[in-house]
Amino acid sequence: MSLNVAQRRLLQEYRALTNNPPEGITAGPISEDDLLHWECLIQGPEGTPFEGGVFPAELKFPNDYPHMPPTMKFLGDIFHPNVYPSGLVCISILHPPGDDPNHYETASERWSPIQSVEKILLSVMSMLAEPNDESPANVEAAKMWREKRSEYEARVKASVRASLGL
Amino acid sequence: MAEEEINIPSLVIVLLVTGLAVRYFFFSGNASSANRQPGGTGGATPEELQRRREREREAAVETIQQMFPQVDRRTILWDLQRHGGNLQATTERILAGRTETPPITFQPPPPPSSPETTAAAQQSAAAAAASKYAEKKVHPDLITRYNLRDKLASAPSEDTGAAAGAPKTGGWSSNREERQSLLRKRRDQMIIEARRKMEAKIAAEKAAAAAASGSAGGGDN
Amino acid sequence: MDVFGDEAFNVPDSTDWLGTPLACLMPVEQAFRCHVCKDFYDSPMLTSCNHTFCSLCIRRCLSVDSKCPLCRATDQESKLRGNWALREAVEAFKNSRKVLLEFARAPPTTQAAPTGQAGPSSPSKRKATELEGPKEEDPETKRPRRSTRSTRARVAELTAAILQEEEETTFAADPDYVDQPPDDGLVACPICLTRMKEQQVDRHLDTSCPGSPQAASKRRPIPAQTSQPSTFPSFNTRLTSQVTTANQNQKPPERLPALAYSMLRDTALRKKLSELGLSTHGSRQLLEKRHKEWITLWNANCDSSRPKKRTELLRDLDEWERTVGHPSTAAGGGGGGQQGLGLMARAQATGAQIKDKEFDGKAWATRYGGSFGDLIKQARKGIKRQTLDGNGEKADTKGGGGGEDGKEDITPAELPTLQAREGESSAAPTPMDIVPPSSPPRPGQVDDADTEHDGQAPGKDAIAEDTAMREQVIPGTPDKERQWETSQQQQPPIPGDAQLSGMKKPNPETC
Repeated sequence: MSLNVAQRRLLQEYRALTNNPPEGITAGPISEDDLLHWECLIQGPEGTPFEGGVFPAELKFPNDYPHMPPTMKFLGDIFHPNVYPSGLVCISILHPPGDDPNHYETASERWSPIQSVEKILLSVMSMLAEPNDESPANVEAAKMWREKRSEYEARVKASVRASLGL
Repeated sequence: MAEEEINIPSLVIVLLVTGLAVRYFFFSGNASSANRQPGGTGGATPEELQRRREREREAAVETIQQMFPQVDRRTILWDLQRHGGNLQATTERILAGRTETPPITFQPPPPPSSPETTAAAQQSAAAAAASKYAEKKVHPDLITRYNLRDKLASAPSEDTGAAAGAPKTGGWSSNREERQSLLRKRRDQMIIEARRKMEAKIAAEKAAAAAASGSAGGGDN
Repeated sequence: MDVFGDEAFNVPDSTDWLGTPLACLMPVEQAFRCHVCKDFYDSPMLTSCNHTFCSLCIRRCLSVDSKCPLCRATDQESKLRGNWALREAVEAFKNSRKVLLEFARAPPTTQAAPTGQAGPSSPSKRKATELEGPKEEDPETKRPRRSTRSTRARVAELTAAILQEEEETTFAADPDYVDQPPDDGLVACPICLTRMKEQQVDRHLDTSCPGSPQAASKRRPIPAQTSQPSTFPSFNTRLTSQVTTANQNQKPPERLPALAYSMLRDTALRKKLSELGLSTHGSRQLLEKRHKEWITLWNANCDSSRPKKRTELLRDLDEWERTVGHPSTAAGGGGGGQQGLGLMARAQATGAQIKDKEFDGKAWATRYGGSFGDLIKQARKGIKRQTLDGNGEKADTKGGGGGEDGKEDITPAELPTLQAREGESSAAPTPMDIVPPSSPPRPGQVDDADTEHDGQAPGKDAIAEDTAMREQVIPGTPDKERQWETSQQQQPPIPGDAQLSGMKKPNPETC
């Protein structure tokens, strides 16, 4: 039984994340039979309306990971300028090298094989704290965030509570 | 001969009757199905046409959104409208990245998931909306999602004990099943902890609010 | 280390040091690991920007992006230089890691015991025992043998090591001595370096030793790093072949030059591939990718201290072709096809696994017996449903048999199906109002099903159902196009049936 490069590396990352879990992050493959499909939990960063929340997301890795980035999708409702209503996360670290559809990202922000699941999740955490409204994925959220911040925060807080069954 | 004479008209009559019957059934079936679909208003009223159009447009938008979840609804609608609702043409344009950003003046019709806004909330529309609603609400809260009710109900002291033990037992296990269950445990732990904290926070807020209102009441008196 | 259920899943990591008294070794180990594959450096190469990666990793990176993954400075494959010192360091660390970790994990109170067992406690001595290559040896079984061993043999070995090191300075470093497969149980003659059983060394020295170092069969000097890889290959060949006069099993491999694919016609490319003994099957794009991958594999192999055989490389290429080299993955850039292709890749990986020599059929059968049962049940159910398309069946054979010819399995017609499934699970709501009564699982459920059954069954099922659903959706489209667009001039609507099946693969990455 042999593992290919992507699987081996993912297993390695899984091990590292298990041995030394970063604060506020739990991640691992849904089943070890498919190492290319992960589920993770991210804690809402403190000092933001997402504080106290826990957000499940799935990561899907391509076969040529780590040369190509995975995609990340939140599995619950999350109202955020950089998250599509479908849950898909739009963040520069997840954009493959080379193509820049929006022509605003510097290359250094994009995916590189040295990135890792941990770094992705940490970036997403910081994205939750500081949305980037240059390329909104959720226009409604971006607009509300820009113009009616308090309303936005109230909405996020409500959804965080709802997601915890409260 | 006479029998034949009798036979031919009767045959004609029988044929006619069957023809009529078939037609009747055919038509009534058609009509009823047509009625049932838009919700029983009967006949092709402008209202019904409008609804049907809406529904089909929604179907097209959904089809495209299924393929390109990153393209937002408004852009799709705009593109569809500008190019005669041609699904393939729109798809090709999205693929080629040639979609235009809709002008601000473009008001996309509301998605059918908010049928309350459209006064004529017909049965079918409501059903569609319900299913869409179900789609949207496919994410239950985390407690339900991960089946944590029992754990939540169990004594909190037990849980905190487990929490204290977890970091110690945490780490790579040699056993695949063990790894899997450890991961699950950590996940559940995280959710339960968050929920507990949130509960405490809400309780504190409530208490504060009560105190504030109490003191406010006291001040009034 | 621990006894692992399946060796393949045992990937040592630098975090293993955490929780032991030697936690400070974590950064040390991290420094020995490649940033790309997170594994120990394998034939480390230096870039022009002074970063180091595994040969294969950096070559792949450069072929994707031609930039250093760390600092994003532009670089070229031909400018890579070997980092031999690091290679030796990594090998040495790798060899000592196991013992160190055992030592670190032993409870502090019993520390004396393992020290006694493993022999002298000083680190240098420990390393010396490692030098003999007892990678897999149990210290307990080894101990008595070591004590009875002639000190002369040990001295001989150390001398040999030094000699070898000196020799290495003349050409490329070769840590083969350290790497020597431990299972051969042989030692090298201190003078001629011929390997033999240690009991024989003494007699050999007295009688048959030729008196001068002979290049051992296992020692394959590496061609010096060529600065002009394509210009002087013959020179290198000559140079190195002189060194390996004594025993020349294998010619030192020559690096392959990169091709400018845009300058090559199809036929020329096919010819090149067939010259290399590679398959000439597939689209132009696939041919290019295959050739590129072969060059990457080949050249990385040239950097290795123990180059693999050609057949092994061919197997690697095959493996690559089954997973990464899939044409539609290439087109999607990894974003779009993940769900469906991931599924397939899994099936294909499983296929490879089954073909493995050491495959344990019985254990497999017991482990997946339930899934097989499920699969059969679902397939029976599916046959009734699947009158419309053969796709489901194709997926079926793929799931069961495992990808001998996985790369050709996806036909363009199949793509929308995969895509549909992927679309469904990745976000978009399905038009539920037109769904037949046997509605497919909702996104959440699809995922759950995936989690529970590890077979391909749920996925396949979903695909089939999804296709069925699509068939239902389509008839409505032309009608709608005519009706809901009144304000705009009509473009003649295209019959709906063609619309979805003609669709190309989307790339949801471009958000």
